Amino acid sequence: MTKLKRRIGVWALILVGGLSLESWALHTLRPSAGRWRSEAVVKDEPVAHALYDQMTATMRDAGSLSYECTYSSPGRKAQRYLVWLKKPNYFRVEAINARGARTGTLVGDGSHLWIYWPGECPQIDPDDKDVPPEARLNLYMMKATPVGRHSIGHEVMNLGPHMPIIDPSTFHGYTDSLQPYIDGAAGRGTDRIAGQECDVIEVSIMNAQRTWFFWISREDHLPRRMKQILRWIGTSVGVEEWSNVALGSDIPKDKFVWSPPEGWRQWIPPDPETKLLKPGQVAPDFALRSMDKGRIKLSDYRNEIVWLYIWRSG
Amino acid sequence: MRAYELIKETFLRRRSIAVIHLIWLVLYGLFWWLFLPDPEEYGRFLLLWGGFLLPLALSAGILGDDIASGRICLLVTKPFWAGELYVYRLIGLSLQGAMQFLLAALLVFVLHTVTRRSSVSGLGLWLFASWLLFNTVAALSTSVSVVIRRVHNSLLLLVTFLTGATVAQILISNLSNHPLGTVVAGFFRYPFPPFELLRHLAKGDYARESLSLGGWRIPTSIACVGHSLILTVVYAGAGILLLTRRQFSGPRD
Repeated sequence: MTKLKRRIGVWALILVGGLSLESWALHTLRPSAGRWRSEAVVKDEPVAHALYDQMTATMRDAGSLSYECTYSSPGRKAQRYLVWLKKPNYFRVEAINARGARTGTLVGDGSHLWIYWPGECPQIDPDDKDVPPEARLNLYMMKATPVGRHSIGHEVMNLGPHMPIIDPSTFHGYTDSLQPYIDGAAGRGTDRIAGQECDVIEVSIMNAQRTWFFWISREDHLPRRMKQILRWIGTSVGVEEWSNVALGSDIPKDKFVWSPPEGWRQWIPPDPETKLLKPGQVAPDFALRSMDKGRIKLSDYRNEIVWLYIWRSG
Repeated sequence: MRAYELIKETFLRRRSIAVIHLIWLVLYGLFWWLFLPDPEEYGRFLLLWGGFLLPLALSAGILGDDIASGRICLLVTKPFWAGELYVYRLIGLSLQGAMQFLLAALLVFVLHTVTRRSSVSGLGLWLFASWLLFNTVAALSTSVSVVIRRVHNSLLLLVTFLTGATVAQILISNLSNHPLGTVVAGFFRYPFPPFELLRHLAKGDYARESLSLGGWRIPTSIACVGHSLILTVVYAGAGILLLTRRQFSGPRD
């Protein structure tokens, strides 16, 4: 009887232990619905905010800056960018995909920026039958770059699918449009990234519609890792990691020089106005996901006046 | 000695087992050579072919053959506990999986060194996740082979998974805005072999891209590994229970 009791006890212990472990595992692995926005709003802490300001000032005050950044997010392939920045208005960004292949280059020569791709121009719709395959090659884009008023981060979207969390144009004095909407910055301890001691801060923007985490190196006050959480209809997370950071190094000027080879053609993005509906034209039916009513279709409002207000969060 | 013999049997019970291992290795190499995949693409290929299809191929008839031939009566004769047969067979399968993945790693490393193309970073995590999935699917398949004759256990599971995956996909996409959608997604995510969870583990999502900060690297990864192992134990437990409860009387079983 004692032996039986002991055996039952052991099995009961194993069962309870297994159930507890599995309950904890299921609780930990449950899909995160995201924190409530109100909980995610950060109360400003002067020390943490000073770290954030110092990071920005370090970028702005440097004569030159180069780094390698890798951006990744769940469900999408990682993208690597090699970035060189030099005052007053020079920059170069090379985009490399997960296989190590170069996907595009962005060069700023002081007055203009040039974007070119090794193969087909990715901005041309692959399904556009009006553009033959040979017309998609040997193309470049060119734009004027007034100092402190252009965004390298936005142009990088022409090279790859990800936009850097910190706009490299911060170096040239550009101010991100989100800056006036910062709720606050708070300290989140310290961490060690690639052998460097870092202060971790959390910054929330626009009532936590967006949250940034920065791991700021104590050595050079520049980030080594950043995490961005966007809360809109769903929640998207992106991580950017910096490596090979060099502040104030001598970058040869020929890094910022490029001119189109013979035979290359300038590609000008098509005017979006040409694709707009004309007055009197029948609108195509479409469906959108509503924040609270499931799916709504344009045809649900037939014979009513519909006002489409399109806005961008952040 | 008995354990060693039973484990060795899982390698030698059919001539096709060596052929399966060879074919799978060739497939790994060909996929790398022809497509030069990035680590995530190759990892997904490993997860599917090595983590799911390989255990089905190796466990075909693992107990069903002995049941059909009547040899099971000798194997489960007292004083040996019938569950031991199950456990050692499963260990044998797990060892086969580990050996296969180690060889795959070696093959990829050699190909990468020779061709100097693509990348092998993060492949270790994919191999580990594939091995965890291998164990779970092997346990499920071995348990099914207790009740299904001959090699039909693998075929049944393959058809069931394909059907289930299709149904799950349709249900979850149609119920994406309905509260029931979460319940349905949970139903397919947790009791069945954890494809999605292990894919996130292998990609490193738990390590970097959770929503919270501080102590978020290790617990979620441990939870995923723990859940996978517990599922393996649950499937194996069900199989052992079925095996020990069955009465085997001869070749007609």
